[in-house]
Amino acid sequence: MVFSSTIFLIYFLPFFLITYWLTPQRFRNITALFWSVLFYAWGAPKFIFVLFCSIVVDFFLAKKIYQSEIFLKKKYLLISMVLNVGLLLYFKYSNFFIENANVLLENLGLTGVHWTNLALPIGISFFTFQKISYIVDIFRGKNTPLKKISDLALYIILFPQLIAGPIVRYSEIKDQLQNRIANENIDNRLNGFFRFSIGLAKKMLIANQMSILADTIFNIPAGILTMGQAWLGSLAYAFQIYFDFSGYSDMAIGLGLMMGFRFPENFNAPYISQSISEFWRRWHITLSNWMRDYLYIPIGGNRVKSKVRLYFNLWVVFLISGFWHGAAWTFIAWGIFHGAFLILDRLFLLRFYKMIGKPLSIIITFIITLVGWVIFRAETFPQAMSYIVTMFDFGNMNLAISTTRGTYDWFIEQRFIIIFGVASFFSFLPTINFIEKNMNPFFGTQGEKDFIFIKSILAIILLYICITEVISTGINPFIYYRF
Amino acid sequence: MKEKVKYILLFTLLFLVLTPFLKQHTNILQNKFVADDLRGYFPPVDSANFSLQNWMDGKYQSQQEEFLKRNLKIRPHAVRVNNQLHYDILDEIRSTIVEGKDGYLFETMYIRSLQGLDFIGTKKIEEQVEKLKVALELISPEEKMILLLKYQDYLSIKEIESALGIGESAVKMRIKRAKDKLITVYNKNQN
Repeated sequence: MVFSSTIFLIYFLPFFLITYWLTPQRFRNITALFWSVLFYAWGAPKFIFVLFCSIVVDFFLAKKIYQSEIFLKKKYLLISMVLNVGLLLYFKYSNFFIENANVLLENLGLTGVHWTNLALPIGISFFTFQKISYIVDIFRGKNTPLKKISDLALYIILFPQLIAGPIVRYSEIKDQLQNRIANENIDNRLNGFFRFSIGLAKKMLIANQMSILADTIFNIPAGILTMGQAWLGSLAYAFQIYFDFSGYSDMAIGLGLMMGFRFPENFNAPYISQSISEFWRRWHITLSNWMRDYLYIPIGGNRVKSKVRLYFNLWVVFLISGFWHGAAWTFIAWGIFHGAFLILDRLFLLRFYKMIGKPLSIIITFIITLVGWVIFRAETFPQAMSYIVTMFDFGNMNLAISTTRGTYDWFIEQRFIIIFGVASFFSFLPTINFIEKNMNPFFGTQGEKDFIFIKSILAIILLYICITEVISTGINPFIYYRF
Repeated sequence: MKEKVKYILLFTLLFLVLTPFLKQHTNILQNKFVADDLRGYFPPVDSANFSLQNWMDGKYQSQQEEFLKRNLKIRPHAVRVNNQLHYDILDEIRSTIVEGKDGYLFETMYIRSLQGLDFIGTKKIEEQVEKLKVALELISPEEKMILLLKYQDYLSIKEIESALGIGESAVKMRIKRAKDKLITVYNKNQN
């Protein structure tokens, strides 16, 4: 089920909220679990049984890990990792590997393997990471296993964050799973509604409009695409993906707040970063944190002897996080691209940015990010390359946006200019220090008691507009549903 | 702020998300949000048949979503408000319609098509043709035949009726089903 669908907004949401709030405190987990199962069964009925089984297995393995001696502990951990990562690899990557192996085989003159493509169970990339965090935290002795299997199931399939994050690490939420009475109050419910409607508005009013523009431009064949269009297209996609994904996170955080959960923040004005290293502290924060704790540190992290090894580790982490986004060469390339800049940052770029000052650093970093998004968005790697060449082909500069070259014609409508304005305003407003420091009470989960009245009124207006938009337009799933 | 005000606000928000449901399934709000039916042609969407198979394939869910959206009693109101907002704020006339000479409305798609502006490149077209050819082989011969009669030989519905010896509604139904099937197969093959 998609948050921006009629069925969710008109049936699921109101009835979930009413039943949840009317349920006595100690049964609320069960209510939440019931609705979460319904939510997932609507979207991925085939996979829900596999998910149930794997939760049961994880529950018992975690107990075993907790009780066993170190030798057995490691064995159980290994079994659990193989199962979880195996499921992810099988469902997400087997299509990709077999396809590529077939290409290789056919090039060698052999016949390829016959293979029916598997459908990707939605959310698998996200909940696999959560399950790993549960198991590993128990292995590390940081946490004790949950006593009730229903609580573990709730942690994994809690519907707000089930499908596209934020990736909630187990230690961040373990207490709330058992008791969140302190967070269940009217202020949080109103704040939650506000956060939810902000997210819905980001998705419906900005991301969807930008997607029309980005899709049009990315469909223009190379050779006809002008430099002006190429830049505009990458900008449109940059705004689309930011408002789409951060909108989803806002909705998840908002829904969580209404239920008394506090999910971690996922975004912090990423486009004002002054280096790619900083970008990754502001973009998809929960993924970066997860990667740090469960991948970067286990392979050595910062505590390695040589610099070469450190850079290698960094690169591996980014390659894997690129590949995590999807089984395609473009995502691998995108990961390598970002990893390269992280290394360059450590070599000399950070010193360079310091020299040239804040505004220029932000601009350069943003341009690097735009190039990254082109690789991310392009359907094939060659398309990405030719698109990027067009962006930087200064010998053949054609800044025209409306063009008639060959038989392809396209012009920008006024509505896009307005949305561009709104999107840039909200993306770059926090460059002003004062605003960045003070925006949290308004948008964040802190300072709940401030501005409640204004926020609620805004929520009412935005929700009204967004509901009419949802009813009037087609289905627009979130970008991160694919991952 | 007083607690009471907060509860009023929360209740308003909850009521707002409940409104479409109340309007749809109860007698409350019958006289609110009344708007004329939308004019123009909409292909009717049937309510989905529930079966385990349909559910597992996700067909039931997607059709039910579409059905709900189309048949909400609040839809005429929502569409009007939405169009007005898009017009006022974004200066956008919806459904890709432009205002032409003397206030006539034109759908841009056809104008662009007429001028050859929607040309997407020979390569893309060839790809799509290839895909369509494959898809045509994957539907049943009867379905393929009726589509070819209609779209390749340009027979009218009347002519197809006499060619196949079936009634008008049956012809239309078969064409629609064949088309839906072809589109499903085509889209499935794409991935």
